[in-house]
Amino acid sequence: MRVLTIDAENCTGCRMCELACSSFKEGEFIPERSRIRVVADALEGWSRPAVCLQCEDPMCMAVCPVQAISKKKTPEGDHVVVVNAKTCIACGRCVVACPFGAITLFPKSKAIKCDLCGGSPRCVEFCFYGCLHFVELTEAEYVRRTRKITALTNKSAREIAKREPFERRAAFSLEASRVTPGMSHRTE
Amino acid sequence: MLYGYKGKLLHIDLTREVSQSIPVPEEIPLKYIGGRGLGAKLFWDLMSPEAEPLQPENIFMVLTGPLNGTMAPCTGKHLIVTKSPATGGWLEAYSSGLMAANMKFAGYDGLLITGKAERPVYVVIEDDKVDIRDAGHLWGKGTFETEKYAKETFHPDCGAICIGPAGENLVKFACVSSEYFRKAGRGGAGAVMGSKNLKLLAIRGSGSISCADLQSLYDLIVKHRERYKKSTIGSARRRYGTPLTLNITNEIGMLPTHNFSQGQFNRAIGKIDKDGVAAATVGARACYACFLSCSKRTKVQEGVFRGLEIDGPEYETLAMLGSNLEIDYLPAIIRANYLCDDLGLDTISAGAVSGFVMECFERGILTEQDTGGLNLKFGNYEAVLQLLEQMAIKKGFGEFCSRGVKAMAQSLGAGSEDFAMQVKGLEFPGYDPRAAWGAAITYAVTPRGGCHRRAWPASKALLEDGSPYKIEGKAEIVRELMNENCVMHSLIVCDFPGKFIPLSVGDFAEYLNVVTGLNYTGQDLIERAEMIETLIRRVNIREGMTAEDDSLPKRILEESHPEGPTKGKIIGLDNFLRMRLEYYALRGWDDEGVPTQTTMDRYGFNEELKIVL
Repeated sequence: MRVLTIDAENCTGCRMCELACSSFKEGEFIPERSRIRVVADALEGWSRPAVCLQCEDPMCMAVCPVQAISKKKTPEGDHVVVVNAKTCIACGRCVVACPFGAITLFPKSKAIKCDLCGGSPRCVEFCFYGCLHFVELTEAEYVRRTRKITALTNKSAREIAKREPFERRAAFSLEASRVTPGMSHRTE
Repeated sequence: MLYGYKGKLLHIDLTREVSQSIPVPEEIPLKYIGGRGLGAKLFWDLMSPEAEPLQPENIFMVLTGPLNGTMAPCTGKHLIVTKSPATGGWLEAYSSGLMAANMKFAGYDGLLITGKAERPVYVVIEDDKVDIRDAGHLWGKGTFETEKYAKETFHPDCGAICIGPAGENLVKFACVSSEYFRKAGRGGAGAVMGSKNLKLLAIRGSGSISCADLQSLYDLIVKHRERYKKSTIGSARRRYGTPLTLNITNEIGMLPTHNFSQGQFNRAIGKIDKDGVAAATVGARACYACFLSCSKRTKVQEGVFRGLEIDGPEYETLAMLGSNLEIDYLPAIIRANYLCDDLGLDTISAGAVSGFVMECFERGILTEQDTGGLNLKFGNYEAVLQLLEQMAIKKGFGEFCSRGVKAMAQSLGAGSEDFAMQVKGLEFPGYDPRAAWGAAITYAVTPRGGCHRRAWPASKALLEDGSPYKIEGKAEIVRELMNENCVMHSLIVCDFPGKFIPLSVGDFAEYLNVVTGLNYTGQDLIERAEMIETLIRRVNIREGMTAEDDSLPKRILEESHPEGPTKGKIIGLDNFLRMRLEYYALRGWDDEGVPTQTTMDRYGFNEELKIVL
């Protein structure tokens, strides 16, 4: 089984992956809609791409209310998590669920994520610095990788759990308070 | 509609705090390509000859070309066009980062900034939303902190240009910064931003760029990537970056040393050359959409500057703030580079200015009384580091230095004009033309002044055709190289792929065609370059420049290097004038460098559509 791997120290920040991905998927250059995104700090001199890990136990899939997200195999048998655009209702729950920010909701569109280009990822083809690879893993390696993803998911969930509730409360407490409004008279 | 272009410009009037979008009819990119060509057209149509560089009437343009924002390799560059505070004439300066791509994604081929804000401001552009905000809290800050502010408060992937204290204080060689370490360095574009009270401009686009034939574009990229992998000069460049140039220029006597009085600095070898920099290198950085990654990240490992980390130093900085000042201590050059980057000074001019005052100091034209106690002995890097900070804030002796070499020499007299290394008011870069006589013509006739970017002095053609010390044929080579660079600077592609992949003008035409849907040949592009260069000539003539301004300091024409391969090689005024005359004639200009009526008619300047604001 092949997986997309990242050697972050080789990334130079050229962002060719974003251009390759968006042009292949959207037919035009639009990094905003790239499934792979580069995170960078040019002042500190580092950059790295971020892309879906194709989890074995995807949180995005778990929260989808219409079962638009599913686990599939590419024709060559690579594991991939895909969104069915026809079923997707663009509710955004998967975006909230993904611990790695690998799934996005485009404005007036559907949830979008990396689908490994069906087994020949274009970002890898146009990564000229040896940062992105699409490699065959042994079963043992794949099991180790899955274990690490699970651990990272748990770690990320805990981090988010520490930070996010404050923001979410601040943003939505008013509306939450109005879910069942005007009940003072019942307790008087 | 042509693919690749957005067909509109954004005009921001800082005086009235309003903005509007201006359509660019298709005939303009068809004739002028974009970038440098578009800049020439806009400068001619819109810039008043009466506008002073540092007055609100000057226009500050940021431009792109048809290839920016696509995957065409090495297209991460944007172009700034304005009237130069250093020369009073045409200025265009390139830099890289996320600026050009974001401009295109936001829907603009170019930004035109006019007027002057009544207080320090910064501008944020998000697609079609333009916001002019108070920059009081950023004024006085370095470029690093300023750009970081944009990335943190606006968008981490925004394109941004900004100035440091040098630009605010209208230093004649203040640069415009982008992506922290990338600079539109030459000619004082930073001072123009400062004069408009514009500290920072950040832009983010969420839109797209369509391409006429995507698959052919992919194929071209893969083909040229393979070519690059096989190129020996390419892999050397990838390994060492521009510092490799120092070993070449030192070998042939082209490396400015001791304010251009010598052409070799052998102490540089192993210390501030390819190996010196490689030893300090901790990583490679690439510009947007580039597979050459020539930018090297260095870190000082020991000594008082330990821990300091920058992208660079590039060759120009090693030469101008290194050998030219007889400084062979790399950490000090890295520190000087860092200071210039953060303060917003052009490292080339800052080095040339330092070299000039050091020679004046050595000759007794300047004393410690004049310099405020600075001991400006060649090699004294501590004094240079202090001087750089003084220049940027115009403090003490730095105020005098901030005027640039030409104005300083005029005020000092005492024969200092002879070794004031500048043309038109723009200081020399890191190549001594006496090692490749064709470069003498380049420096003299390049519209923005003493500059190496229009026809690279260390290029094979200039060094090997016949002899570097012959004048025959050099004007023609310079014209050809300048035309090729004009094509790249109009598309806008970086200078490097042409040399190091290598790519021909025909290859560039293919990129243009697959992106836009045009069907141009290399020759079509060269003809346009020829026309663009003549239009820029007209710009400078309108600004009051004459053949007189296409001249060189006496040191270059009449002195020889005391040692090395260039020893005894003197260009001489007659030889220089002959090459210049030849160059004018090749361009279709008369003996005074004015385009002839036949030339004017051929290019049809008078029949074309005029852009108005």
